[in-house]
Amino acid sequence: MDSHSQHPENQSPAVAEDLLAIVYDELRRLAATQMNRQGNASLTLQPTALVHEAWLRLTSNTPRRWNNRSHFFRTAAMAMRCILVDRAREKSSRKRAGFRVDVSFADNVATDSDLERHILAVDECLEQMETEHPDCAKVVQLKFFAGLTNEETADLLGVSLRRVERHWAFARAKLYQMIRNRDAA
Amino acid sequence: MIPGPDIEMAVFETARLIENPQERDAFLDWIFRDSPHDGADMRELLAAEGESRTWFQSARSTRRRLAGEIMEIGRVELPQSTGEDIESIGLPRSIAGRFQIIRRLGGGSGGVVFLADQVEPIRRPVAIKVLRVGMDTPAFLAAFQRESQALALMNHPNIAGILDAGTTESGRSYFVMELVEGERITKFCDERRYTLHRRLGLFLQVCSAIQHAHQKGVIHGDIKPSNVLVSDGGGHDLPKVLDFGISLSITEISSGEADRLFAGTPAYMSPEQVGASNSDIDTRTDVFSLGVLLYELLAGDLPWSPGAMPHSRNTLMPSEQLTRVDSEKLATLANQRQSRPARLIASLRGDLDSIIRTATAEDRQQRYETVNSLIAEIQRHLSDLPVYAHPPGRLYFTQKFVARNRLIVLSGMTVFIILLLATGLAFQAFLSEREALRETKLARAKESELRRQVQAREIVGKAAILLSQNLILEADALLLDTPISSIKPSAEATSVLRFLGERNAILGRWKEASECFVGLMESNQLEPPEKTAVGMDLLLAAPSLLEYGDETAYHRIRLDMLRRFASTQHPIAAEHMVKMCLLRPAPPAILRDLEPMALLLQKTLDHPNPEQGSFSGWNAMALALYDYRRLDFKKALTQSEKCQSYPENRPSRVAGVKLVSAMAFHHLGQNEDAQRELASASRLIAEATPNEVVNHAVTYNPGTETWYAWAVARILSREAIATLGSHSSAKNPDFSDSRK
Repeated sequence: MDSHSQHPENQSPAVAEDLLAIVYDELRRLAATQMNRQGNASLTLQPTALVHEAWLRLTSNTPRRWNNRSHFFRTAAMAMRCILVDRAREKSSRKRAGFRVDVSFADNVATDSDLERHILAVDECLEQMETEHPDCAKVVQLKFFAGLTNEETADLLGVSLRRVERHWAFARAKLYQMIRNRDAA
Repeated sequence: MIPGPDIEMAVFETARLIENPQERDAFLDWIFRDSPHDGADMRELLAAEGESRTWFQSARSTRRRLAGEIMEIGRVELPQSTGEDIESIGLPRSIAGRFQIIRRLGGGSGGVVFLADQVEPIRRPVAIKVLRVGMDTPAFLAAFQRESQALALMNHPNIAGILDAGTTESGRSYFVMELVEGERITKFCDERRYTLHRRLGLFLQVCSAIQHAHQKGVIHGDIKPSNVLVSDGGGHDLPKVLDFGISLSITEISSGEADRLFAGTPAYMSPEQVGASNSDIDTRTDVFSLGVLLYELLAGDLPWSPGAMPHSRNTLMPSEQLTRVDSEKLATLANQRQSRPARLIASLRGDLDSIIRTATAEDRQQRYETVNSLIAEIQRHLSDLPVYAHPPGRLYFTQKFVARNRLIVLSGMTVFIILLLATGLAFQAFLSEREALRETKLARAKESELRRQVQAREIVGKAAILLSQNLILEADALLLDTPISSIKPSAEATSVLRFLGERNAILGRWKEASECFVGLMESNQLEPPEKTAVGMDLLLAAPSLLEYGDETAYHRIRLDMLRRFASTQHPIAAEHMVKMCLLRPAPPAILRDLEPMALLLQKTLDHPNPEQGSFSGWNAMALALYDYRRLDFKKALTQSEKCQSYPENRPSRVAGVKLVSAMAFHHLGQNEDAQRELASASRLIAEATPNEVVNHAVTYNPGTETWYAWAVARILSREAIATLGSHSSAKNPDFSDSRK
């Protein structure tokens, strides 16, 4: 099937990594210029905006690298995930050696110093989910890390909106349970 | 053990769908009857689902914060300009031997502005903008050149013009601008205690500058008080728009060349400009910023706190905002406007609130399409004419007032038509431009589009002159070349479409009229039903479609209208609906839907409201038609007689109702009576003089004839001739066989 080759996860590791690196760089660069020109971080914090912008930019510069929009956004979501996780990890390690995740469940609201560990917790448990529920994991990656809406996610994955909602509900419950169980252990 | 992930998910989803806790338990018990341990896991997972929502919500805010921090880091990595003194940027004291640099004035986007003296050919102070050190990347350089090119294109008294451009010996790009000395517009007005009226006057000049830029294909992109300086030229205030530094040409946007430098000042930026995709910015982004500027000018504050994301949905209108500020501040604001607190609020409420709301609408389709329309609206407000942005309830009554005062109408109509044309055609040009923008990314296409826009403007000018000399046919001929299909539905298209539609209808160009009116109805669907002038559009569209001969479209729009207005309590709307939905035979379902409206009409007819006296005749005619379509021929005849008994009868209505009588008589077997009524109606139709049919719905006057009333008569006449001519079974109008 034609679309098979378009999925970054189905490409040879080298090519996928190459693409990922491009997107990663582009996102970081965009984040920088965004910030610089607006001088107000609160305006464009949405990863969505960055990812969309990276798409526009990368497609106009390297028209043939991206087979389609879906391909790009999946890669971008992956890159966004890497960027966020790197940042969270960096912050966390600065605070204390190692980064065992023990997000407070007592009141469901993490304290300020725990904030970045949300990201790490989701990231680590998502890896586990990728083997058991790959479809759900894709939804989490696009929705949570790239900040896409249900509609956009459905569009990119080529599935119904209802299906995205169902997968998201299941994935959310599953991840939450996984994070909690692991912290209890 | 659950057999597989898919089954686990399926069980989870099914269990979630069962709302009753006991049934859900029973379901889980049954599914996991052999493995209670898995059942416990599943129950835990289901419980986790609820809790996970909150957890993910706070996780999402973490993600936002982290993204913000990443951007913060990114900032440090960008080249920073080091020092901007004359010496440190390596600028000579004199440029090109003609300009003596005096001192630094400020930094704009990408460049530093210096005060300088021009030495020759004449001596005068000027401003010189020089590209910053570290900013001479291709992107910044392009932006810099773009600004100087944009300025060179424009020539307008309210835009600071460009005098010269070039490169210094050391290779730095610069351009020389006319020096603008003045206060920012908000401060200027406050210090001089300008009234709202004077503020609007200044604002109109700013608008005309921006409109000029748009005509030249330049979007400003950063309109805010500090970019609008007003100088006090001895009683003659002159506002100047500055800093086209982030302006973009429409061509560049459409060709995808718009680079990332296009950014404004957050509080004044339109939602789409804040958004991710710059390739979709158009002139309406400036309309938004102008709206914010007007807000600040009138209400003394921004509609939202600086730095917050503009969200017009939650935005207080100026009058509302003023009711919230403390009394001391309100007193100051009122004083700065030579007004009193209560009066200031009252004068903002209504038109000005509505104009600002429309200009700053989050969805740009709801905004004014062009700056010209915004100008026209403010001018209308200043001359006490109703504004389009205002909720139609009042517009409706104002129009009625206008209709009662023919003298005002006669003088006002010319102005009105000119405004309509001016806004209308400019708007069409922008629409077709936007179409092209979507369809093609080719700059060449864009350029021809811009040329078309300029041509359209010339047409507007000529048409307006012709109309002012009452040369309506000539004006109309001029407008004919503007394809109706280029007018896309939008909240603002309605007035344009109505005008063009009626012009075409009056001239008997039914195809074009139909296109206009169908477009008009589509535009109105963008509005909630209570906001459209109820039933009026059907009154225009239905007869046009039938005169054109498009029965299918007629049937479709009557179903549409029924769906939207079936519950109307407005007798005039009900009259329009009943009559227009029954111009052709109707299936029982439509008759059923119309029944409440017919009852309302009957009630109104039995207890006439003296203010609506002249409508009784119309009500009776609609009821006659209704009874005829219901096959209650006797009652139809009674209603018809009643209709003709009103003193202020006019030929078009008499003709119409006589035709209903003719058909009713025919079905009752009274052929002589039928023929008599038909003959008399035909005579009336034949005698209708062309002058009589010319009337504009906007100036609807109950005492005059309208083109659509005559159209109704002609449509019914065709049916009557066919009915009386047919010798088939008497009681058999169309659709009657579907009554079962």
